Amino acid sequence: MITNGSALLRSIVMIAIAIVACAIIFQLSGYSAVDAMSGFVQGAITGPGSLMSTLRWSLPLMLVGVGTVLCFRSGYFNVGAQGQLYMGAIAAAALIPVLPGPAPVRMAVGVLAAIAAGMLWSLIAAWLKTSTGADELLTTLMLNFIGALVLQYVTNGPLRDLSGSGQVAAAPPLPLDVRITGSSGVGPVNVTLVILVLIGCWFLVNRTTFGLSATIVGRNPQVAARQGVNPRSIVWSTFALSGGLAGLAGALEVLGPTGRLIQGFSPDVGFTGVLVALVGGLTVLGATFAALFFGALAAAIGYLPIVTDLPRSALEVLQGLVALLITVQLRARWKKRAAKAKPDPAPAVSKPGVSEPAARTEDPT
Amino acid sequence: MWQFLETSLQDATPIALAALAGTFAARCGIFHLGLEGLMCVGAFTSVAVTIGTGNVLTGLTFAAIVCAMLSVLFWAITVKLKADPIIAGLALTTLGLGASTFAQETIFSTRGTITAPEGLWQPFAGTGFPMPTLSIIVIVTPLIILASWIVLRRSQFGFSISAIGEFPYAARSAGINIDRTRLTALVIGGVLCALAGAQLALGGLTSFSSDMTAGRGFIAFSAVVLGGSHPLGAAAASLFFGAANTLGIQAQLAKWPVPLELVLMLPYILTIVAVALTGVLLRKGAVAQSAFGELRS
Repeated sequence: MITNGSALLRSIVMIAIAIVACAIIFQLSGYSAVDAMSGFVQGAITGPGSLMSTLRWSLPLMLVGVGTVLCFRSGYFNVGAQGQLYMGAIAAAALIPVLPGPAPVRMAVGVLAAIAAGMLWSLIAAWLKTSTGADELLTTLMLNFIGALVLQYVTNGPLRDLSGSGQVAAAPPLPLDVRITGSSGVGPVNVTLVILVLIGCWFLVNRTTFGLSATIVGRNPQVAARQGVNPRSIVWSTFALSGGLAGLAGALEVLGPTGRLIQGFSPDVGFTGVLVALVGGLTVLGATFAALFFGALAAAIGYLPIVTDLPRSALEVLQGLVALLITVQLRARWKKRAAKAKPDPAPAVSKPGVSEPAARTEDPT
Repeated sequence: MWQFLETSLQDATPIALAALAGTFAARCGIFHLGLEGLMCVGAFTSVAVTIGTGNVLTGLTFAAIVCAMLSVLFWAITVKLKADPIIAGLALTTLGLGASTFAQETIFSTRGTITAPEGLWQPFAGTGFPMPTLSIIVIVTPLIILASWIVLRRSQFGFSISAIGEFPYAARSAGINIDRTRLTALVIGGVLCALAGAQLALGGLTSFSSDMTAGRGFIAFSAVVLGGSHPLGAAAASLFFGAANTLGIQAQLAKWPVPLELVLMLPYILTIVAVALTGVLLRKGAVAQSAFGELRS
C-alpha cells in the first residue's frame, strides 16, 4: 500500500499547487481569493443542497473515471469517454420515445441500449487497435469529435424539438415516467447503480484473474504474453467495459438531470474523467474520491455567482492547471520504476493490485 | 469561383499555421494537442491588445510573446518535468480556452464578442484583385510554409529536430542538445499558433468571442497526422480541410441533401483512416502498446 499512499499524497500535493496558483491568479485578476475559496467550500459542502449538487456532478465522473481506470491500467489510453457518453445518451433518447410497453421496461431497455451504444463506439477503437494497430489515443480522440458532431446532427435534425423556441438545439423532453431521477440528478436508483458499478469494478480489478491479467498487460506486455494472456482479449474487454460505463453515464444524464438530449451537453465529462483516473492513481478507490473532488468543483462553480463575481471559466483554468501538473508526478514515478525495475525486479512486481501504470513502451516486435 | 477560393484560403490559413506548429513539435517527437489552446490565446491576446493600444501590430507582437511563453511552460512541463505530452497538451488546450474566456470576462466583463477597432492589413483591398479581403497573414502564409519546409528539410536545425524525433539516443550521441532544440521547436510553434489565432480573429471579423477556435486546433493536429508530419503535407491537408469546410457551408446554403456535420466530420474520419493505414503498413495486426504519447529522450 506504500506506493498507493504516496500516489495519493502526490496527487494531493499537485492539486494543492494548482489551487494556490489559481488563488494567486484570481487575486491578481482583481477577485478576492478568500471569497472565491469560501464560495467553493459553500458551493461544494456547506451551502444548502450543496452536497446533493456535488453528488450529482460526481456520479457521471465516477462512471467515466472508473472506466478510464480500467483501460489505463492495462496500458491502453482510451480517452474516448466523451463520444461514448454521447452515443449512449443518443441511443437512450432515440429509443425510449418509440418503444412500446410499460415505463419501467422502456427505461431499462433504454439504459441497456445506451450501454450497448457506448460499447460499440468504444469497440470501433478496439477493432482498429487489434486489426491495424492504430493508436487508440488518436482514434478515440477523433471519435470524440465525431460523436459530438453526431449529437449535433441528431439534435438539429431527426430528433429536433420543433415546438421549442430555445436557442440550443435539443430533442423533446422525455416523459417523466421513464426518468430515473428528477432535475436534482440524485435518486436511489442511480446512486445504487453507481455504487454497484464501483464495487464491481473494484472487485474486477483487485480480486479477479482478469483484473490481474489486465494490470500485467499494462505493466509488462512481455510477461503477460509469457503467462498466456491474450492482449487482444484484454483490449476488447477493457474497451467494452469503459465504453459501456460511459454509455451508462450518458443514459443517466438524459434520463436524469437534463431530461432531454441537448446539443453539446456535459462537454467536459470525458476529459475530466481522464483527470479523475490519473488523480486517483489509476485505482478504483482513488478514482472514486477524485470524482467526488471534481464533482465538488463542478457543484461549486454553479454556486459561485451567488457569493462572488468570479466567472465560470475559472473552473476551466483550475482544471487545466490540475491536468497540466497531474502527470508530472506520474511520469516521474514511471521513470523511477523503469530505473528500479532493471537491477532488481523483485520488490517492484510484488504488489500488482496497487500498481502504477506502465510507461508507454513500444512493442518489441 | 474567386469567392470560393478566397473563403477557402481564409479558412485554411489558421489551420495551416497551427498545423505547421504541430509539425515542428511532431518532428521532434512531441504530439502537440495544445494547438487549440494556444490558438485561442493568440486570438484573444491579439484582439485585446489591439483594443487597448489601437495598433494591430502591437496586438500581433503581444500575441506572439504570450503564446511563446505558454510554449515555454508546455516545454518545461513535458520535457523538463516529464509529464505525459498528450495529457499536458490537452491540459494546455483546457487552460488556454479557459484562461482566454476568464481574461475576457475579467477585462471586458462580457462573455460575448469583443470587437477590435481595426483588422489586419488587406493589401489587395481596392486594387481590383479578385480576392480583395485576403489579409496580410493569408498572403504571407505560403512563404511561411516554404520557410518551414526549408528549415525542417534543408537545414542543420531541421535535421537535428528530425533526429530527435526519430532516434533521440543517436541525436544525443551526435552532440545535439535535445532539450534546447525541443524548446526552440515549441517556441516557433507558439508564434505560429499566435499568427493562426490572430488571422482567425483579426483576418476577417476583427473580433473575438470565447471558444472561437471551435476545434480548429484539433483539425490542425489531424492535418499534421494526415500530412505525415511533413510541412508541405500538413499544409496540403489544411488547404483540403479549409476547402471542404467552405464547400460544406456552400452546400448548406444551397440546400444540398448533405448534412453539414458530415462534412465537418471529414477531417476526423480521414485521420482515423490515415492512422489505421499507417498501422497496417508499419506492423500488420500487432497489438502493440502505443508509443504516440511517450516522450523519448
